[in-house]
Amino acid sequence: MIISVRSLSYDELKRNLNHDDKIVIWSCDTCVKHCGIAGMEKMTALEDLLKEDGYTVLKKELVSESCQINLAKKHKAAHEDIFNESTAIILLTCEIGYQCVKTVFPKKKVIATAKTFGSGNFSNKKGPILTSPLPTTGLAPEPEGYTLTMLVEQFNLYPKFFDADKEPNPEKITITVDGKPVEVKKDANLLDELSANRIRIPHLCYDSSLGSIGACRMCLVKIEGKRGLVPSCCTQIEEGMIVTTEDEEITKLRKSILQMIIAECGDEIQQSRDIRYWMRRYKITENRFSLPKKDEIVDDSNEVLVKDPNRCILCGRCVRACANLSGQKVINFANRGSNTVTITGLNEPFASTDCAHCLACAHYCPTNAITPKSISKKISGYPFWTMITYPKKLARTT
Amino acid sequence: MIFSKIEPYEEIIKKLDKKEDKIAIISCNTCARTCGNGGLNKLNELGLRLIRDGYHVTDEAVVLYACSEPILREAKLDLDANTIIVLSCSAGWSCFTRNFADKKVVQVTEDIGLVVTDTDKEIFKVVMPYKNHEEELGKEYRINTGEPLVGEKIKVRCLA
Repeated sequence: MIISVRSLSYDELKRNLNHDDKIVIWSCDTCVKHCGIAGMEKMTALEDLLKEDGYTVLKKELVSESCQINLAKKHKAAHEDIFNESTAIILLTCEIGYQCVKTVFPKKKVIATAKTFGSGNFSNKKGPILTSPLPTTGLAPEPEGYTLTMLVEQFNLYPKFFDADKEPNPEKITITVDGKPVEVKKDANLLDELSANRIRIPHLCYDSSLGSIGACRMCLVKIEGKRGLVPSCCTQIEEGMIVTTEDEEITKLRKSILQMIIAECGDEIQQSRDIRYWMRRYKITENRFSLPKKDEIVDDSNEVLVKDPNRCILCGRCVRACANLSGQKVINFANRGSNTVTITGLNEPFASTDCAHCLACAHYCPTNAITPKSISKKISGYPFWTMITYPKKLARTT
Repeated sequence: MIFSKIEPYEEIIKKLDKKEDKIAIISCNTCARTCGNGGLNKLNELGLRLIRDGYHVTDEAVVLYACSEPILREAKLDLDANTIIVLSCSAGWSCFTRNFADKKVVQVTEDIGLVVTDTDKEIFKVVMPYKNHEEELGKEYRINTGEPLVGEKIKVRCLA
């Protein structure tokens, strides 16, 4: 992974902006996110800060890999009207991402916020570490790695994100959740705010980076004054809301949804961390419904990814990740109703599509229906086909 | 992305002991594959050549990122080998030297620089070169093979 550290303070960032600038915040979702200075959460924090200071933020653009220039061009084409209107782009990317975005938007004011030091590792103990520094840093290669703290001290940079310089203070209101008062951000997404207040609501199709479609129905809650159950992922917070997140009816419904998923996808679906957690939480031990188990062909033609339709619950996260984060639109839904499936390209093998291997689909899939390819094999003697390829060597060793 | 080049086969075997070494080949499936030095193809190519030449190859594995300890943990590599060849950039090699301290981890690649890619045109371009590779700045290569290209196919306006 590429190691980058924030190089601008919030005040320096503001000095680069005019008060009438129309801003797009552009973030990469890969290496720089693991360095703690990018991603949807960080973009939202920066948006809050800028809005509090009277700036206009038009859009937050999350890109799966900003070092792929073709993806940057596709993002520009997809939201051309917004980018035409904007006057400044704030980048939460490495310097490679900066070069791509500056190439795609040559006439725009593009503000880089990070310094790139070279390549490194993600360590379990130390977090991101720099092992192979670029010559501009003057540092020597170090297999044990330089931690971000060491780099921050040595190069006089900033250890955390902009919200460490000045804490955002968005307008808060109080709502009632399960009989208790809870302080939440005004006009925010209900599911996001419940999660922020450590009220865990099950959800499979929603992710704050991808937006909501209300497909899985796991996050249904009751809101006083609203008819029936409403999906919290599609609900905007209003003043005085009274929300019930858990009661007998809601629990029964969530259990039924989980049981139907297990009936359709088989026990293998329990390898998914999310599903396993909610099964334990709702004490589901047996398969109530007897549906024929899916028997679709696993597509492992892609060099990097494996797509197993038998585990797919049609949450649409991969479809949205491919369209919104990558811009490639390789994965899509086909057919309708109970025949709906996800397909790649024009229902062709994954390898035949123009997949950019950005891994956004695999990263956001909640059931491991799309996973990165991982191969591990033991070699014992000579495999059969080497007999054909290398007969001489084989003859000598046997 | 990080661009690294693999050493010639003759250089690799100089670092190996035919009698003593039980070899595992681990291949990175991200940057190294993109640059033509990793992935399943390169793994098979090197593995077969070593086996043909009488080396004792015991394990072969493709991992998503060789530079990430959480990914290594997830891969649950149970290696019979005492020597590991890592087909990745130097960051991947560093990760393996730390995590397999009891084994000889052989570095067979050299970092060239950080690159911009265009997966539609299947090209990558060096935009931030490493030390001793400054002449690579602006050079373009074919994705998956690392074959050098002539002429500028990706225009990047602000080279470092």
